[in-house]
Amino acid sequence: MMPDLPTLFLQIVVILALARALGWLFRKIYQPQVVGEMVAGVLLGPSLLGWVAPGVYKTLFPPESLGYLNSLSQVGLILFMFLVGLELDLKVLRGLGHATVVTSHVSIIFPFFLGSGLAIYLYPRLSDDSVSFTNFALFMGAAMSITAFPVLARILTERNLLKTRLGSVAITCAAVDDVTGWCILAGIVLLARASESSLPLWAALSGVAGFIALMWFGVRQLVGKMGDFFERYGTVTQGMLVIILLLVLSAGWVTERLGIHAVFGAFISGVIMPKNHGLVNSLTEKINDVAVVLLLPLFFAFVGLQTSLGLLSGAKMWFFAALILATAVVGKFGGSMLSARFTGLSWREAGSLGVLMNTRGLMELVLLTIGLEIGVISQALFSMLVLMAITTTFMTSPILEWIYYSRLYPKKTTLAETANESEEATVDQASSFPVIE
Amino acid sequence: MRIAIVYFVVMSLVISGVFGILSLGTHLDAPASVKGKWAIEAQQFIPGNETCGGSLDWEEYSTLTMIQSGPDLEITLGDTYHTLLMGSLMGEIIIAKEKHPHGTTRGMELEGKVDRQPEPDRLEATLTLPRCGSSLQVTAIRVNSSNGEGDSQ
Repeated sequence: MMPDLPTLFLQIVVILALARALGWLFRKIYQPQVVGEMVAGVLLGPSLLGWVAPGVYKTLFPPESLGYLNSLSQVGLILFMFLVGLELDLKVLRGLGHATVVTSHVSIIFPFFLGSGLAIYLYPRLSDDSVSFTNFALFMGAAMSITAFPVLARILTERNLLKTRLGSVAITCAAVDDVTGWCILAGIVLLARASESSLPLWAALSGVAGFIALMWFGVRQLVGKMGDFFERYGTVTQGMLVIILLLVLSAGWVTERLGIHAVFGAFISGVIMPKNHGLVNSLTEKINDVAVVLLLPLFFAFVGLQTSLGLLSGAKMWFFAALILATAVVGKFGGSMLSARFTGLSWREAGSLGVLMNTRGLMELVLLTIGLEIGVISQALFSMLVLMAITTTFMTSPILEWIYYSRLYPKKTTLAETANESEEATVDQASSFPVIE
Repeated sequence: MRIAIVYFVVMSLVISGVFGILSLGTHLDAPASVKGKWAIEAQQFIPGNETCGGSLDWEEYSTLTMIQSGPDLEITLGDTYHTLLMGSLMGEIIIAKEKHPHGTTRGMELEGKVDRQPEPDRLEATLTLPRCGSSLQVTAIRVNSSNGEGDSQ
């Protein structure tokens, strides 16, 4: 069936306009643009537009049109996950100091423990017997453990913190968290889909192991030649870009067929790319405009369309939402802060690290969308977790300013002043460390 | 050395705790799954006072969609109004009342019983408009079990 093109174009126009407007507005209050775009998605969904103007909502987002919007948003997500993998340099994981090892491990396992513990309370209240407790608890653990590597990197770059001790520990912990979080999620998706999949679990596991080995030991060597080519000619040709896009989409197809999600294939494709700074910058520039500017807001809108705050009716549901938020903050902020303090960071640095690690942003939305898609979480729980993701990302900048800057620069009162002072240096650093806003 | 010992002790405890939670959770019972789309198969209409303006246009009710969060249900009827009912599941019994986002409703109520054996799942329910005394008995068969709006995508 042909898509209803006028409706699709209108949807894209409305989504992009609102996402950019709110992104701009949130930047004015020193928030990452991504927070504004996430909020825009929720505002366009049943939580606001569908509630105040149900007629407009049904005209703009008729159910039969959402498949096309979803397909476009998934392409954006695949490209975005490639960029996340591209930014992730596994070399940072080598030679970690004991502070980083302890902090990164505790910042995963402690929120994971609290999240799976919370599952004992929430499972009979927000789930049903089509979902096994093991999948539910593992998913809740993973949802509490994730850190938004791209948003965190952006915040560190903007605040000129990348080269500080806090920045290097934070970026390394986020990298460890990301890799671990995605491995856990891949396992959950595999388990949850095992009953429906035509592949037996052992075959799927062997396939995933074989795929990773092939990508790491085979394809990585081949794409490594692109790094050499770039160093010689200083450009990413259209031919190179086509090869990379083919690799990303093929890897996504393989991981989808293996029963884990297509985002894993895209992520691994990014991880194996050569980490030549020029190449990474150039590739990011080329893909970023389409993936992040055009397609990713569609993903936020699609998340927003599935987020129904109307499902949180009554004090009981809001209590669950508050409990999830509290668990997420205590687990990630508390766990990271205490472990960092224990390993020798000052209270100020440890607190700032806790705040940074508590940033969940877009990565949490990716995880939640997969959870909803495979049926591990209900729509009400999805909505609560989306609220938690937005809140924890939103709280990062002001609390970081309060904990880190107000003590580091006691004579300066706002983040704006300290940020403006180092603006030129930040621009230089940002251009050598491409991250998503 | 002290850090290493504390690290291993704490990590061992927490990881054991996660396994303990997973083991404990296997004894928990969640409510029966009723989410998804249900196709209405048979209907019997009992007319009430038609002058009250709330007669049930029963030919419209071909589907109902349930969004489930634990025992809480949001049920949308496949009629032109997309009538929305909020309710809960107690064992096999579903009880729901009409809810409109902006407050005005016809006061529709649904009461039904889910039978999950044998497959496919069946729902015997009665839709009533208490103010008008009219009711509609329906039998529904579950046609898919995806939660939310996913089935339309």
